[in-house]
Order: sequence, then C-alpha cells, then structure tokens
Amino acid sequence: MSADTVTAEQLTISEVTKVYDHRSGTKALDDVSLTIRLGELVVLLGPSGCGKTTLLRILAGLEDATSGRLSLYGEPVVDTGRNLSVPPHKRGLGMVFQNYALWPHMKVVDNVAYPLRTSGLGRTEARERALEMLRSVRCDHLATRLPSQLSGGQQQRIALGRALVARPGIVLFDEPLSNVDAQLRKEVRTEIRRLHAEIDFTGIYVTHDLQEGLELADRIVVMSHGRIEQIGTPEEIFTSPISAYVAEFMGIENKTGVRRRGGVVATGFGEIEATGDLAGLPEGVDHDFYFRASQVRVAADGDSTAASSRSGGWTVADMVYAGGHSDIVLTRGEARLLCEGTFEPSARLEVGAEVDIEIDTAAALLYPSGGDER
Amino acid sequence: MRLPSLLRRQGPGATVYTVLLGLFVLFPMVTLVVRAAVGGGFARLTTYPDIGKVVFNTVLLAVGSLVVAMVLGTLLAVSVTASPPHWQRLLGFIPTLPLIVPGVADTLGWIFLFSPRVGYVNSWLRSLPMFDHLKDGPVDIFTLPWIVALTGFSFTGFVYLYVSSSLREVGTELASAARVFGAGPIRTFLTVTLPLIWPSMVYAGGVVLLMGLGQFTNPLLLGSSNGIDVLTTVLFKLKSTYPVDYAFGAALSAPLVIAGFLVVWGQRLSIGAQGKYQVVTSKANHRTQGGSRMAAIPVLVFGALVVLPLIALVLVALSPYWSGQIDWGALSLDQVKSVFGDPRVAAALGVTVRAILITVAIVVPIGFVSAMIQRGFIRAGRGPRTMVDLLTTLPTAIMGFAMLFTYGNPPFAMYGTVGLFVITYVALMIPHAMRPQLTSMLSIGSEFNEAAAIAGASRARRLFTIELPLLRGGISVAITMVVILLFHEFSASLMVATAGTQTIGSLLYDYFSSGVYPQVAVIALLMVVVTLAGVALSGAIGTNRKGSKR
Repeated sequence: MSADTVTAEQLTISEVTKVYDHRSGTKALDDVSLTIRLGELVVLLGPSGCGKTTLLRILAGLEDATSGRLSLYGEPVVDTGRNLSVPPHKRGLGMVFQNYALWPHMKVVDNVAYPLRTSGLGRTEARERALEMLRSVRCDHLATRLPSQLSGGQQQRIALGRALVARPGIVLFDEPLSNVDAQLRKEVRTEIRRLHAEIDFTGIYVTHDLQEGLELADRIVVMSHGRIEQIGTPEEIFTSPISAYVAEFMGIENKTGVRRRGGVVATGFGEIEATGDLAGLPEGVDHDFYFRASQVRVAADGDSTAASSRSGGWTVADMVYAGGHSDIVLTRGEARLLCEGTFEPSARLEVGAEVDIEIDTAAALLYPSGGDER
Repeated sequence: MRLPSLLRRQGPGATVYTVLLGLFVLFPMVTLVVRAAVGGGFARLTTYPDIGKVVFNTVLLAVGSLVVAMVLGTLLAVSVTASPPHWQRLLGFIPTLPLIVPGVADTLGWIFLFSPRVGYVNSWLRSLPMFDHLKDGPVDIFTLPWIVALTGFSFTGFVYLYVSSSLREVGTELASAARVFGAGPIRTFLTVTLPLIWPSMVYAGGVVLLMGLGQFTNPLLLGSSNGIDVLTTVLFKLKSTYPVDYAFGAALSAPLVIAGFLVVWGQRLSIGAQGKYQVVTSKANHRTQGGSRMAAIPVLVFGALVVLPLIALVLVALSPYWSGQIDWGALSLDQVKSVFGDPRVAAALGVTVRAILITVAIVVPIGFVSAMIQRGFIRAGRGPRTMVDLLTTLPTAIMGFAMLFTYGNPPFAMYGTVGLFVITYVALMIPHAMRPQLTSMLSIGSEFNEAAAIAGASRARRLFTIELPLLRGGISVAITMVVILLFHEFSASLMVATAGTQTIGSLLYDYFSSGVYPQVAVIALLMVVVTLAGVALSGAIGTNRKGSKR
C-alpha cells in the first residue's frame, strides 16, 4: 500500500514526552509527534534505549506519558493537559508481545477467543471466530493444546491470531521476532505481510533489526535518544539517511573525515580529487563522508569517471566470501576500507596485493563533523 | 496531577491494605515504644537485677548460633554440591529438614535424649565404663553452650538454603574458568565462589542473627531450670505475673526492635553495589562430573541428628512415663489415646483450628495485595513496603507481647479471646502469605496481564480470568504455609494465651511445665505430622501446576 493513497489519520501522536526519573530529568521520549494513516504498516526502528518500546507502550496505555496528546481513530485517548488517559482495555487495539504472552492456563482456542469474549461475544460464537482465525494463521490443529505444548513459531502465530481476531483497526507489535531463529523470522515476516494485506489493519511495529524494518515497513520511523531522527519509506531511509546517526544505523561500512581545499579533498587516507558531490563541499569545513562497500571498487588503469575519485597505495588485507560477492578489506597505513569485489577468477585478488581504488562520489553522504555527537 | 495508568492505579485495595497493615504492625509497635518511654520502662531496665547477664546471654546466643549455623550451613551446601550428581537431589533435601520439623518438637526431642538424669543418650553413656561413676550427665543440655549449639543447629537450614541456591545460581562455569587458569580447588573457592556467594551469606547471616536475638523456644525450654534468661524469656516471665508491667516489657523489647532495623540496614550496606555480584551465566551450566561420595558424609550425619530427636519423641510418646530406659514391652498407644480424649487438648485444638481458619481468610488476601504492591501491579507509597520489611525483622515473641498489651487491654479488651490469636497470627503471617504469591507473580511476569488489558479485559475481569488462575499455585502454597506455621506456632501463642484460651502450642508448654512428658511428646508429634502432611501437600501443588511453563 503506498503512502499517498491513504489519507485518513488513524493515530496521531502530539508532543509526547516521557520522563522516568524526574531527578535526573532524562527523557525516554522527547517531544515526539507522528501521524499514522489508515492501513499503513509503520516500523519504529532504533537501537535499544532509543524510546521505541516506550512509545509503543504509551500507545497501548501500558505506560503513562509525562506530557503530550494521543488520539486513536480520531478520538483523543491521552491528553495530559486534561488529565485524560483512556485505560488500555478501552483503546480497541491488538498487540503482539515480545514473549508472546499467551496465557499458560488457557487452551490455544481460549487464548484467541479472549479478546472476543471481553467485547461481549457469546462463548460459542467467540470460539467459532477464534477457530476461523486459527485457520487463517494455519494453527487450527493446535486449538485444544496448551501454550506450553507449542513450539516458539507456533506460539508466535497464535499470538498473531489473538492480536487480530477482534479485527482491531490498529495492531501493535513489540519486537515479536526477537526471540525466534533466522529461518522462522523470515517465515513470520512473510506471514505478517500477508495478514496485513488480507485483514487490512494499521500496524505499528517496533524492532531494532534493520533488515526486518526494511522488509516490513510502508514507512520507517528511525528513533534516537527519545526523538524521531528520520521518517521515510524504506528506500528513502536506506539511500538517503538524513544524519550520520541514521547512516551508521543503516550499516554504511566506510566513514572518513573530509575537508575540501580547491579541487582536492583531504581524507583520513590521503588526498583525493574533489569529484561528484565532494566538489560541492564548502571550502575548509570539516565533514564526515559515509560510503558503502558497494561504492568502492578496485580500479583498473584509466578507469576514472567524472563522479568517482581515485586513491592509490592500498593493500588487500583480507578477502571474505559473502554470498554473491566478496568483501575485500583494504588497508593503507592506519586507514581501513571495506570494498565489494567478485570471486570471478579473472578479477580475483591475492591477499597482500597493492591496488588502487575508485570511490563513487555521485550520491555522497556528507554530514558536518561534530554535528551529531551523541 | 496525571492520571496513572490502569495497571498501576492506587485503588481501594491499596488503601484498605495500608490501613490493615497499620493496625497490625505500626499501631502495636508505636504503642510499645510510647509505653516504654512514658511508663518509665527504660528507667526500670537499669534497676532490674541481672540485666547485664540477660543482655550478655542474649547476645551470646545470637552470635554463637550465628557462627554455628553459618559454618554448618555453608559446609552442607558445599558438601551437597561436591557429592555425586545423582545423589544431589536427595542430599539437598536433608539440610532443609530442621525447617520442616517444628522447633519446639525438635528441642523436646533433644531434651529427651540429653536431659542430664533421664536423657536416653545420657543413660546409655553412663552404662559405658568411661562414665559409669556418674550419677547424671555426662551431657547437660540445660546449659548455655548447648542452648547455643542447638539453636545454631536449628538455623542451619536457613543458611543452607541461601548459600546453596546462590551456589546453584553462580553455577560451575566461573569456577571451572578459575581452574582452567590455574587455581586449585581451595583458591577457586576463596577467590571466585566465596566472593560470588557473599551477598547471600550476608543476607542469611542477618536473618539468622535476628532470629538468634529474638529466640525464645530454646532458652525457655532449656534455660529455665538453670535460670538462664534472655530478653524474650524475661518478657515471658513478666507476662505471667500480675499485674503485667507493660512499660518494662516494652523497654525490654526495644533493643530487639532496634537490632532488627540495624541488621537490615547493615545487610544493605555490606552487600553494597549489587551489580558487582550479578552473574552472567551461559545457558549450559555443566555440572561437575563425578563428585565425591565422601562429601555426602557431613550431610548424612546432619540428617541423623535431625531424625534422632524425633525417634526420642516417638519413644516417649509411646511410653507410660519417661525414665531414660526404654521398656520395649511397655510401649503402647495409651498416651496417644489419652491425649485425644483429653478435653483440654480438644479445646486447644478447637481454638487453634478456628484461629487458623480466620487468619487464613484475612492474611492470604493481605498477602496477595502485598505481593501485587511489591510486584508493582498496584501502586502504593513506601509505607506498606516498609511495614512489611519491619514485620520480617520483629521477633515473634516481641510481636506477641506487643499484641497482648495493645489489643488485650481496653479499649480493645480482646484478652482471652480467639480474636487476639487471630490478630497476632495475621501480623506474623503477612510475610509468609506474601512470599509464595510474590514468587508466583515474579515467575509469570507482567505481560499476561498487559495482554489481557490490550484484549479489552477490565481490572476485575483480569483479576478473575488471568491473575487468580495463574496464581492459584502460589495462593495454595501460601495457605498451606500459613496453616502449618500456625499449627506449631509457639512463641507468640504463649505470649497471648490465657489459662482459659489455649492453642495447641501454649498447651504443650503447660504440659511441659507440669512434667507430663508423654503427653508433651504426643502433642509435639502431632505438630510434626500435620507439618509433614502440609509440606507434602504444598509439594504436590507445586508439581501439579499444569501448563505453567512458558
């Protein structure tokens, strides 16, 4: 679902702040505002301690905001100025918990039927709809089992079914895949995308896993130190990180300090020609230059282009097979770079070989130095 | 003011709880201190003959029993760990036996074994050539060293529990690492294991020191005949005279109350930075291979020393009278029948059962709310937590005395009623009713409750459909604990009992004082049987909790 086809606001977060320790005044959330539209799947992404889980728990009503406002489905549910805080059971949400939180004393079907029962549905009807939901997550054969008799993956599917069974407009996901293995992660991710398409809910998904965020999200919200750092589609975030912080979080492998003097740029590994975006750097101002391994290649003679800069005197320190390509570790004095190469015999390099490299500067990620000291 | 979230709302539960706790804990303690200060109690302390000796005995008993218990408890914990792995389950149970056997029954058993004139072991020893010239002894159990040793012995189980669970938590990996890097077994124990289990040793030491300071049963039963008094026995004598000098009693109690505070404070200080002791363990905690059978010897000897007094109890209970000689032909169930036909026993059983039932009905819900507050599910101020902490430090006998003069006298005037037992028992049992429920809550975590809230369940619905069903194991254990602890409760019962209203514990002391030992043995055995049955029941509840694994 593309962002511009939906307009109805499902969820509005306005100036939400959360302070746990009033003495130190450290803000777990600092003036966060965000609008999420009908049917979007938004991923809150960031390292641990960035405030993403706190924000999710405030949305759920499991945590109080210190200040700010929050509306769901257009209705205000939190407004600290008016002492308004709608309790979690009246917010009409679904949620998938990190540790599944399936009630161990209830059978699978009763777990899934529970949200329907609390909404006043009769036992028989609730059970039928629960079974229907279980079929949809392909777990109907487990209906009469207890959670302790299930595997992690099965518990995860049941938890998903329970969150969706009452057809809530908004479903929250609190790092639901952090406890499952890589194979299962992929499976459940696909499952979530399928259910999102079929059932059409608005999803808010918390994770620290970049890959998970990129695969699942319609929009990604990158958080840092209680604030929103960048909001955008996975592609925008991946290709154009707005700050050094986001760039590092995107796993961009190479970084060096740069300063332009005329047509030459001083870097951590010597001077290179000011090509591409490097040519547009303000003269004499320190910047950090981030570039991916895929933007570096081992150069043959006469290989330069208008948007690439050559640097010589590198030594191949190591070559690692990385699936479809090889990662080449290059050193030059103290400096170290990662470069993507191939394992094709014709292009094969020997460890210890001296090489020149070409760095692609057409879409350079440049951030003023010291501007993101955290 | 912000509205707190539903999960942490300060509701009527927390308010009722705070008021009840205040009535049961704070009010009697405040009255105690006020009475001591206003009634001139502290001034009379200085004029009481032998007060110096009483204080000396109290401190000696506490410190001496602490040393005995720490050494024995740590030795047993290390022995169990060092014994062959397939024996450890059984061996690990033996050091906890003194916690299960009612203290009063244990002490009586020791008296039947080592009373100087007619103790079974003393009689037997005098038949040996080495001692055949003696008229009594050679062991005199009614002396201070024996009181200290037996008290320490009875506390060993506590130390063992703390130290062994800490040893388990630390695991073998860190010690193995020290061995790999060249440390011998003793160096490893001193430099790695001991520093890591130190916090639990400090904690156990604090608990045992407090129990030693407030110890009542052993000095009362063993010390009275030789005039060996500690603060609590002086308090009991005071209670038995008329009119009761409450102000003086309150002044006598004050040092023990203060000691409680100091020990808790000291524990916190000496454990210091908790992070230093947080152990990062890997999933696989390999057990040491092999283990030594010799390591099991101290544990087995300890087990024999627990069982021996119980055998003495059985022998005395089956004998027509206690003479020091076992007349196998005269053993019969006559004493047992006579005890059950005794109207005083029937009355005492009636009072005990009624008091226990009412107490359970009051204290288990209080324990539930207590645990909810400790767990953070119910928001409450610091007051309730501090009061529960205070409760765990107060000696039982002092608590009984405080209850007697607070609620026994006008305006409450509950003297001689079952109500006075109930109110005393409730105060004593709050920590015991709370702990199993708290453990249960901690093991199930908060996500289940949160998931139910998200699923639309109201506070009440969550209580009945999620919390209570998940906690029923903990609640059952709490009920069982309270029943068994109260069935053999001795110290506080003795303080609040009157000639007309006796519990089984206070009646036991009456019979002991008047020298009808076979009846005493039968009642003590009854306590043992009820306790063992209760422990077995709670064990069964613990293992039967279906589907509680995650």
